[in-house]
Amino acid sequence: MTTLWSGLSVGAIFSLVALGYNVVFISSGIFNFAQASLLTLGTFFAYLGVVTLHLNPILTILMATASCLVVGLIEERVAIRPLSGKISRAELVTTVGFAALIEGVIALVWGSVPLQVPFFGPTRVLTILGGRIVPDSLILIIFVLVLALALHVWYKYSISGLASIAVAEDQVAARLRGINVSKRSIIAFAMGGAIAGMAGILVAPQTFAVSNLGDAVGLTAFIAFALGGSGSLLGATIGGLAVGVIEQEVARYVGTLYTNTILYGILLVVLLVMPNGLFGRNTARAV
Amino acid sequence: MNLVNFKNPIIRAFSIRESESGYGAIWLVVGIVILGLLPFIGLGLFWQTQLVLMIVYALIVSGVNLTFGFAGELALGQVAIFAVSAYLSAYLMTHVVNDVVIALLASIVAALIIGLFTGLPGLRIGGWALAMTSFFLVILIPDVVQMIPNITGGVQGFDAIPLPEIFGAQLSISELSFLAVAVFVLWFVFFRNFVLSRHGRALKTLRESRHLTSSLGISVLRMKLLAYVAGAVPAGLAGVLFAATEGYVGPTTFSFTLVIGMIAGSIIGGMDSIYGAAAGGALLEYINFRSAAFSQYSLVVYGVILVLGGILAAHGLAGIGRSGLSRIASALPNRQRLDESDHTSSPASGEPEVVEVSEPSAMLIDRVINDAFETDNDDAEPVEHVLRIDKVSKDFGGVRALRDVTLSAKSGEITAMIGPNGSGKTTLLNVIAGVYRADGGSVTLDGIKLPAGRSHRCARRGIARTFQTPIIPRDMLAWEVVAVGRYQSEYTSVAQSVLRTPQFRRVRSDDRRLAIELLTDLGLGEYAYARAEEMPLPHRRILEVARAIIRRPSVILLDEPAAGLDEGDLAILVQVLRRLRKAGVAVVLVEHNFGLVVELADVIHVLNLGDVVVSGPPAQIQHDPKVVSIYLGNELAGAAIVPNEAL
Repeated sequence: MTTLWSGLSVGAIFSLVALGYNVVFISSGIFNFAQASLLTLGTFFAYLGVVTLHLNPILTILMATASCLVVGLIEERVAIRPLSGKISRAELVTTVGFAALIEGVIALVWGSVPLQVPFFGPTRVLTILGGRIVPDSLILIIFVLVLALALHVWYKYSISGLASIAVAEDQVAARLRGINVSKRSIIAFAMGGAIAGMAGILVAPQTFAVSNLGDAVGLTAFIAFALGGSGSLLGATIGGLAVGVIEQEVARYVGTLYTNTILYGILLVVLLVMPNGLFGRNTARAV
Repeated sequence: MNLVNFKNPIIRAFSIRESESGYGAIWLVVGIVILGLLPFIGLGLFWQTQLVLMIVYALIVSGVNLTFGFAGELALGQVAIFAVSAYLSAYLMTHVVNDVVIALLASIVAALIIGLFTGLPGLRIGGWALAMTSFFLVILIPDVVQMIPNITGGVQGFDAIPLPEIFGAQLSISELSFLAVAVFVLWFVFFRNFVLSRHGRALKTLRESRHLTSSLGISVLRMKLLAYVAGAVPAGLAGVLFAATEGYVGPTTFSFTLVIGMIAGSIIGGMDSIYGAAAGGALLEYINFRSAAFSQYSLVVYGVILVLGGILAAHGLAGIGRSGLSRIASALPNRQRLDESDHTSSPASGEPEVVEVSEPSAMLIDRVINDAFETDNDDAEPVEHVLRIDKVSKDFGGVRALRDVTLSAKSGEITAMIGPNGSGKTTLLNVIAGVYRADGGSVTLDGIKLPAGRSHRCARRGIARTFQTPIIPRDMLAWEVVAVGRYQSEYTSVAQSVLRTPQFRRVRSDDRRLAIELLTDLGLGEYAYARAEEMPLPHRRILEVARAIIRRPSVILLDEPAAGLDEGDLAILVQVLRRLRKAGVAVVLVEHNFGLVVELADVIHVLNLGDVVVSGPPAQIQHDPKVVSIYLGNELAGAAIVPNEAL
């Protein structure tokens, strides 16, 4: 059970990044490679707030959220908008470039030694359902679930969210309906940044603030994203948690050497059976 | 005007958008490459190593260009193939036999096998999912390496790989760099000849639409496998060169960064270019080298270069090169067309004359269609073909699109299907063409059942079609789009195409001659060298008709060919359909233009909500009260006044 809990708490981080991938993917059709680096940045802002400036948690969260939101906006402005109208896959390169840029700047400012960020709440280990878990992990899991639910409600019921879904469905049709497509993309990048910033203070105690966090998390979150089905919030949440649990269980019972191979095998089998992922939608196409 | 550019020899030499006719340029290119690379070899050990690494990257990137850029298949397993090949040759050279030629051959075989294996999921999933699975193959490399440390050297890697030998003679690094240049040149000649051949055109067709591909009788499965395998070979070659030059192969080489770099190289160099791959590869090695020199700023520099590179090269370095060349070229005085001897002459000036097409000469069309049809059977005794549709039903999740439809189409007749939108006309065409498998009933051609749901095999039985929305592949000239129709029937092997054998050359010139003649007769002769995707809708429709005709079908299915055509184009279409009928083709026409249908058809079937409501000759259908009620509603049905123009 302890392994399950630790799997869920690692998985929550994957879910978080996969949700960020989805928010951008839905509104712009772009896969944002820099999402995991934004989360890394979030952990460093948590370090800045908690350790360096001794701010209280609320202020730290606000500062980190606002800062990452701005960085998300900068990314959209610098790496995405100049490409608009061009038929190419150049965003694969520019978002990776922006990710490298974020990591590079972090390494310049804070160095490459992992920095510890203490959790602001209680630290006593809890025993739940026969498994042991630290409170910050538990809160992180709950946070991710609440976030997924909030995003779901927003997409389903708010005009703004519905407009984003419309853009995902058909950009041209959405534009004809009077939806400002590029504004949806801007909002999506801002939201992606904000999510990463908000979570920084919860993720940092688990992972430490370390500049290359994005490399490790980003790849596995990509598997979660693919497994759950691109564009599906539910898929990203469950995909991330499942990947985390599988990773921890395999590491414990088979060996860490085999985690990636087994995850990859599962991904391959799932995609062969369900090409759109577990929760992705199938779009019929003909001539 | 695009026409101008294509006539210029400089553009012809470098632009892959141009047809393959500029093959003389290959020696120019090879010469430039060799002259450009040789100085590196003179600059000593460091630059020789840099040169080989540049070549290694360029090879990997060219594999991405082939599979992704040309065939549109997002199979990105090149780094994994590169890794396997590097380990394989390290192992061979250390433990089995130290001969670089054997290593190269073994790597090609290994690359073919792995390319096939890593591509297989793509036969089912394709698109994004394939990209993800092949992309992430790289994360397994360090783990797999550690699982079999006896062979791979584990985390430490394979060090002390001996300097490679060739037939027992040891190669120095400078000799090795000569070898690398040779491999590089050979691969690029192969790549160029492959892409600028009928196979390249078929790959571009696949990139556009698998429905189109299979409607031309080309097996999508075969084409995809060809793309995966061909894109794997250069990565295999790169592995050997890498292992031989570095003398060390370890798991850290095959990183995620390399995958990203490979894609960056491809995009920045231009995905659908040949020589752009070389530029992209070289750029990549330069980035690696420079950013290592900047040490602590290296990530920032790398990031900035990727962002800027991605933006600047949204069309790729090759695109920038091309537009630069065309600017230079247009400044030069216009030369005569190079290929004048090749086909019927046309004005040599930059501005093509506008040809009046309203009154086409029937003789011209006659000649082409006869030409197109007589290649096989010289005695022009047309065979009778009968297409029989028997009680065909088709549901789409509870919606009944076709209900026990029974009708037939014969040689020498134009069989028309009319009916309101949603009446099942296009669905029926798709069932005949094998795109959909009918839920009930059968379709037979000349008494033999057509393979249901297997559209490339239906096409090979002699069914040709056009699409309601024309499907015209990107980056192809009009005549090339038409010529793809002959890919399957006049098949030339990859080896023949790459070696440009006499037979290949003959088929190739037939391809072009027939396509251009056909286009000329359809009134599009002056646009034969225009970029097909940029042509206006009516021309794209006619292009599709030409692509169907060049296949010499027994049955031709036309899905609203007249929609959007002006009177001149329409007159040509009418002529063509009549000629087709006379040539013994069974023409099946779905059309909304009632006047046209009445004028042309021998039999009209009226469909409504999946049923055949009425069938009969035009004169009868024109005044049938049921038809009137379907089109105009019940109130008007009693009046039964149907002026042709009103519908």
